[in-house]
Amino acid sequence: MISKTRLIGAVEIGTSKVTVLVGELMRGRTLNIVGLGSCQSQGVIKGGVVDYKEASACTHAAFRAAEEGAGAPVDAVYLAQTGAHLEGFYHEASVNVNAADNCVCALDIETACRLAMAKELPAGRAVVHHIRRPFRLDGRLVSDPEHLVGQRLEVGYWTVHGSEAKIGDHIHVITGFNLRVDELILSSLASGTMVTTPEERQSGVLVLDIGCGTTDYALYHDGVAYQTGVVPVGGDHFTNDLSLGLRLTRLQAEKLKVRYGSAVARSRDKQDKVWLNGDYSVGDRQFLRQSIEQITAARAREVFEVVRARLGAAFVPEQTPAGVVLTGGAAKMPGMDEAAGKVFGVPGRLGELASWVADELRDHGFSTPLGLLYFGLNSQTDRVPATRRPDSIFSSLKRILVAP
Amino acid sequence: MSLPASIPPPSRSWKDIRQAVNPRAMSKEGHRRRTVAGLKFAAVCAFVLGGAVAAIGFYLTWQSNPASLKDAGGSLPLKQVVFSTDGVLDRAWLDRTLALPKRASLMSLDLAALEQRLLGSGQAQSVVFRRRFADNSLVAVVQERAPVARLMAQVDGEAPRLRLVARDGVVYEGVGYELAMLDRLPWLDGVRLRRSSKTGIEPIIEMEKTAQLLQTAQRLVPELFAGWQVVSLARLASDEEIMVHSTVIPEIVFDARAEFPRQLARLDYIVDFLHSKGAPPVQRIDLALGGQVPVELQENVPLKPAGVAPRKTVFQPKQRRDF
Repeated sequence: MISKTRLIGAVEIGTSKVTVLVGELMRGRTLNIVGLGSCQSQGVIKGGVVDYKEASACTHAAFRAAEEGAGAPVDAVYLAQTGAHLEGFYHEASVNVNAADNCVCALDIETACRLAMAKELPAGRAVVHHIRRPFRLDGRLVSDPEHLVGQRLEVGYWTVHGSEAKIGDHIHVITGFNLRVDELILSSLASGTMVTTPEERQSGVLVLDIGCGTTDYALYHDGVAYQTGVVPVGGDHFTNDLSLGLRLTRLQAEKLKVRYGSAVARSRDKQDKVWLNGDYSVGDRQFLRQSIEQITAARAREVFEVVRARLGAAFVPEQTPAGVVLTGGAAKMPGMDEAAGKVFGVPGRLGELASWVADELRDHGFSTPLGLLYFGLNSQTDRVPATRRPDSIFSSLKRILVAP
Repeated sequence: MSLPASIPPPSRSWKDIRQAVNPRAMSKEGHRRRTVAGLKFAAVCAFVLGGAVAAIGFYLTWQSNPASLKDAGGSLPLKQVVFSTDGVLDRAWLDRTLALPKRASLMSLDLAALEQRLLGSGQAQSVVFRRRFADNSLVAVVQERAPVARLMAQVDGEAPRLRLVARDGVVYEGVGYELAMLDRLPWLDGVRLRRSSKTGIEPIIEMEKTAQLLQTAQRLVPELFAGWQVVSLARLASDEEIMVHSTVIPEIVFDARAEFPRQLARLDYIVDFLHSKGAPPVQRIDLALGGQVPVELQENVPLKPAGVAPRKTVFQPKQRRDF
């Protein structure tokens, strides 16, 4: 019997916390968020699992909480993938249209797509996504070239690949809970789908998901992700810089970062000081606000510059009218949007979640798991366009059984 | 059309990564989930297996003994048969006629066949069967025919046997009647019996008028009726006449087309009148001639002294004279 309702678990195993959202997918069209589980992350550094047991324990604890909230076990898992091991490259292919009347057929499309995706990877690497860019038929952009007339069909894919071992570590954390991973989705794509609109992605927008250990970015043009990447720098580095620069413990530095950190040095008063704790306790001391802001602003600028350098020629401010959209826990630091705007030369803003998201989930920390559910349902970026093959008996039967 | 062979195979995808995990690497909760999933799988397998076994068993039974599939309530044994009748049939007759198997189940009984079995006796006019699940019993309600005449019939070379004739002409072997009651029934004569494959003898179609005469006589002139020995239908089809042979009057002729109460009243009057005249022995009274009733006396028989008729009928003297 094929059930019409499935419980999907969206899992983000981050550096600072593990989040599990359970979505009830009804008839493949409606999604209700029915469970939430969150746990402080352990055994994860810069998005990679370094201690399997600890990572499993906290992930499974988050799973239990989410399933208890949902009241039922999860059927499938969509897993977010991040980490510095993820890389990408662009590869394109072109074919001459076969038909005598130069009408593009399904076989031409499939051949072009297969050729564009068929680039051998180094050993130990596995493809995470093949993100197709729009087709070009004799140089003009077309979304679906089938039945159009032309001589040369071109297509390109942005292929995201990662270390097979590190991806396997993430997957095994899930399989250790006796679940299978149904979809593996890049964190930047998941969060980018949530904090930008289709119009923004069509006109051009850069999404930065600044997490605790990594910064994921995705550059959109023409409605698709042109380039993605992960920079192994995140909110932790702000804390680390404060800790080293002001000679503090990480806990104290984190406290100062949250209270007084800013991505733009605004304070002009060199005498403006702030207390570490503010409770007159033993060991409490004062720091110059300007020093704190200078340290965090420098690191913020550095993060953005690293991302800009990674994007290289792909990022053209004139082709990114929607600007830079920031999300992730570290993006909440004051002045981040302003700093990003200065570095990238386009307007920067904090991303906002869609209006249908419940109030308790309207936090930047949930943009990735929410996007996992949304992206997993809607995205077809890594699939070859449908070739309209005749349905098999089994697929026809399945459609009859599943169809409402 | 197919893809060109020169296209290299796709690169290794994350989906190619083996998702099985060493049980030792599973958490406690993972083990619990795996156990629950295993139990669910086992339950589904058992269910499917059970369904398959049931389907095979059903198919084999269908092939070998399809009738047994109709025994929906085969596990419900019949405890008793509750019998009620408006006549003289008894429990022994019911058991003998039904001949139910000892371990019959309530739902396996073919009620239509049982009904036909009881109706085949002829004495039962209608039969209603009802399954009573509260106490696993079968309720049989029988409505019997009442005999109006009797005859001797010989079927299939057997010795002539007494048969009873009901008002609707059905001929049957009476069961449970008192001999005195049977002796009071007149014999039926002058009928041509036809064999029937179901009941032995076809119903006598001319019996309706005859039964009407007999019942009317029994009701209006019981003393006269008591002497009726034979009712002959020999001339019913040809002349519409019913002849009665009585102990007192050897031959009384009734008109089947006329009203019987009127003819019986005349007969009663004539008998009374004859008694008053010394009761001469009568050979024949013909009531089928309308206004005239010829009375034929026996020859060479001395007359008795005159007296009042000893019998009493429902007709008053004036009423009888009016006829």
